Amino acid sequence: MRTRSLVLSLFGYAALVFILAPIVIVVIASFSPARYMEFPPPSLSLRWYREVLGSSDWLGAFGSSIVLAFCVATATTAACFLAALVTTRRRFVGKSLLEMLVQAPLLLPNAALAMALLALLVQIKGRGTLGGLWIAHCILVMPFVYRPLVNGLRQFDLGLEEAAMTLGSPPLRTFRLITLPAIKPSLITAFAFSFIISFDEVTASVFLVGVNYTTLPVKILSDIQSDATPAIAAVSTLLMLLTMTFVTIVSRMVGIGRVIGSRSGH
Amino acid sequence: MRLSRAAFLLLLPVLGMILSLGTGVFALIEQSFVGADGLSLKAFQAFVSRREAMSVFLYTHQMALLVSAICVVVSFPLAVFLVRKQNQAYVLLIMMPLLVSIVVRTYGWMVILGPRGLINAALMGAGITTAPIRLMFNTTGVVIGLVHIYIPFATLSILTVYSKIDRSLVDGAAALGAGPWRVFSRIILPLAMPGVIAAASIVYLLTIGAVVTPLLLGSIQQMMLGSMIYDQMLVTFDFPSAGSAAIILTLSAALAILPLQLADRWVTRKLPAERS
Repeated sequence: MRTRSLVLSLFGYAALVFILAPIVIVVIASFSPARYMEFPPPSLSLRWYREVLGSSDWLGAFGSSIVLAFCVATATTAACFLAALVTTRRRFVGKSLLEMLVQAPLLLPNAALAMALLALLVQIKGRGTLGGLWIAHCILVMPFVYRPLVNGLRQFDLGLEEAAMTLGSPPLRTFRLITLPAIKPSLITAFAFSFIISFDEVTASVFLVGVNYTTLPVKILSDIQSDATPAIAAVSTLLMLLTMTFVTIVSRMVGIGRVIGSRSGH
Repeated sequence: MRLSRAAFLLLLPVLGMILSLGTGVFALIEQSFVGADGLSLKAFQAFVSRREAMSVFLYTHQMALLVSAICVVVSFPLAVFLVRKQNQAYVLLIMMPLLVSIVVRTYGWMVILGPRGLINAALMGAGITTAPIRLMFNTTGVVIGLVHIYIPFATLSILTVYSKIDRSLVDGAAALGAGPWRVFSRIILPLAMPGVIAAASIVYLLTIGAVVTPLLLGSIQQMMLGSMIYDQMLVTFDFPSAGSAAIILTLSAALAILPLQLADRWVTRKLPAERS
């Protein structure tokens, strides 16, 4: 019994090391002064951070990604919230079909989904534009946003709304003072995670960006393919730092359990 | 029941997104099925008759099988470990990589596996090899990269089901004299089966659709469907071929997942009704 649980623990820690290794390695590699990537770095320097923070290419791609992620998170959270309000309160013909179609982006293999989104953007002439990527990312992110919002609304006690209305509160006031505060943690979580998914997305985006419009992860990908300097490691580290800060703030706001739970719908 | 007009208006934005995706899928199908001379299956015949395309197709499914198998075998004990630890922090550590873009994680593996990377530096430093050994730009690299990305998904699927297994069944079997192996094979594994099947399905689907990891860690001679579509679309600008490859990818994904879904139904039916 002893040895078996010892073996299990060793395996568990080994798996943890495996899972965290590439992330830790990227952080260490980002402090290399060398022109080309080598590990371990010969010495430590901030050369590539200076390079990245002084480069208009990197900052531009970063800006595009932030704007895109913000638009995507706002639109998808709002759209899915409105839909979830209806599907959690009304029974109607075609409801289960609708809920299945919301999950459709998860059922398509990523490469095929990317091609379908590309075909869409070619039709509406949105390839390589902020508007086009916005629509594409909203579709990609929709399943991840809809599920937690539905779960949040299901836990909400409709009796509270009824009580407020019985006491003479008009519907909009009830919504603002009763429903919205109760559902706020779900909304924040949905917003935060659609932001992160859009901000990190690369598989579909690489098909959708254009010469004049690119996102940060796509720029990282094309840089790895072209010159692969440690600048990529520096950008990646900054990116992770930003995401972690963001997640920490959000989990302080709504509780860490909810944050893990919402990502598990993958 | 019919929806009121107000309720329908609330559904409109999501309906718009679904319709947009539908438009894209339809356009993709149209481009692959409809040629200059009307409806045709030429693009598919072309795919099937090209030796390289078929070899990419088979290789992709072999990789999906291999990666799902490895993920299940690694994730099962990992899920057991996490349940025993009873500590949310460990679960968080496993989930943390999900917050990091896959292009960054794949880059991390390039730093570890590359010719001047961590492993080769260690091997040469210890004098085990004199020249760097090839760990990426081949199947090994892609398998490591994909397994790493998909383990959190697989672990989470198994963890959810495993943590709900009634401990009294396990203790009861042990008290009645069943050895550890028998307890595992007759009690734990069947009860955890829905989680295992879910994990395998998710990883299979994700692997055959992967683009970035096979692109960066794989060899150019042996592409996967995802990296072939990338190549046709963004390097040789062959939209029709990429389109038909995407449709073949989707259809074969559905066919591959189907047996797993049937197995899931069968397993769930065999399990005793959940006691509350």
